[in-house]
Amino acid sequence: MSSNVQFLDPRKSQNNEIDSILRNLMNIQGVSAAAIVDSDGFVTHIHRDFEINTDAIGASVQVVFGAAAKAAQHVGHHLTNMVICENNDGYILSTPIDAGFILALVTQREALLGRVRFELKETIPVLKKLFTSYLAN
Amino acid sequence: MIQNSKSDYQIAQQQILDGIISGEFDIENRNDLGPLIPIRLFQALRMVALGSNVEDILGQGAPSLVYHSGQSLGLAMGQIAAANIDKDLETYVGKIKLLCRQLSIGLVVPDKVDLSAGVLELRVDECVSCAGIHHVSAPICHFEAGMVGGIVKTFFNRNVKATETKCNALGDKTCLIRVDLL
Repeated sequence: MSSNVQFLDPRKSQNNEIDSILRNLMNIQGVSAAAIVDSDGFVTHIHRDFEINTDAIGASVQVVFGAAAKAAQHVGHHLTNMVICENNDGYILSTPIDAGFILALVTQREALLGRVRFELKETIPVLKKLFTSYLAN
Repeated sequence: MIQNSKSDYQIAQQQILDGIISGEFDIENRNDLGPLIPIRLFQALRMVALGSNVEDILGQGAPSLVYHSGQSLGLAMGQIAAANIDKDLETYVGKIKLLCRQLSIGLVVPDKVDLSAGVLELRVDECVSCAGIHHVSAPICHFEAGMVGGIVKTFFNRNVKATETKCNALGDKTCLIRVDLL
């Protein structure tokens, strides 16, 4: 089981850059929430335009991503880059960042999945770079 | 068949929590064996059923499930301890310590309380989950971290992040859980 000692303090001003990235993701059409979830399922950063039980969604995102990644391993697909959950009223997309952290986006049904997916893939390298420097300090 | 909106696990959970709240630890249908079990059986449930088996299915999602489970217990324990104490932190901690001792979870000792910095550190000596376990590579008491987080969250009514920073199974002789009030 992985360590839970990686801690990104959401109160610190150094995380302004992460907040700015999440704000940009919220500007994509149909995106209603953008969150960073740590390896314990704790939501360290979130921007959203509706009420969310952050404890529950954080744990669920980690559990769903973990289960999907395990399923991928069972069929020889190796690393999981993204998990897309298609629901009646929208999508939940989860992408790994670093050290067990996950970026999760919630969208409404009318969101353009291709556009959201593209932006997510563009964002991950930037977040990875930020996390590498934060977690090293 | 009676329609019930609660799942069977939720029904069992309610009965278990009711038993804890009542402070009555005797249990029916255990006339010969009594209410206590060997710690290794608990550890098998915790580290196998809610540990390696869950990890086999959920991979990196396992610790968050375990943490979330512990937090649910912590929230329930917090509600028990918070009753009729008029928000007095010392009384609350005293009741939590007693409850953890009665349930043999561990000996809870506040190590550092810095409310201005929003940081609390609680030691769990003789931790039920990792006692007698050695040579792990990282803290393994995610359940206890979640539990402590739930307990603190209930008292302060604020979001918290609990992190196990020392673990007996790492050779630290105790488990230390840091709670950040957010």
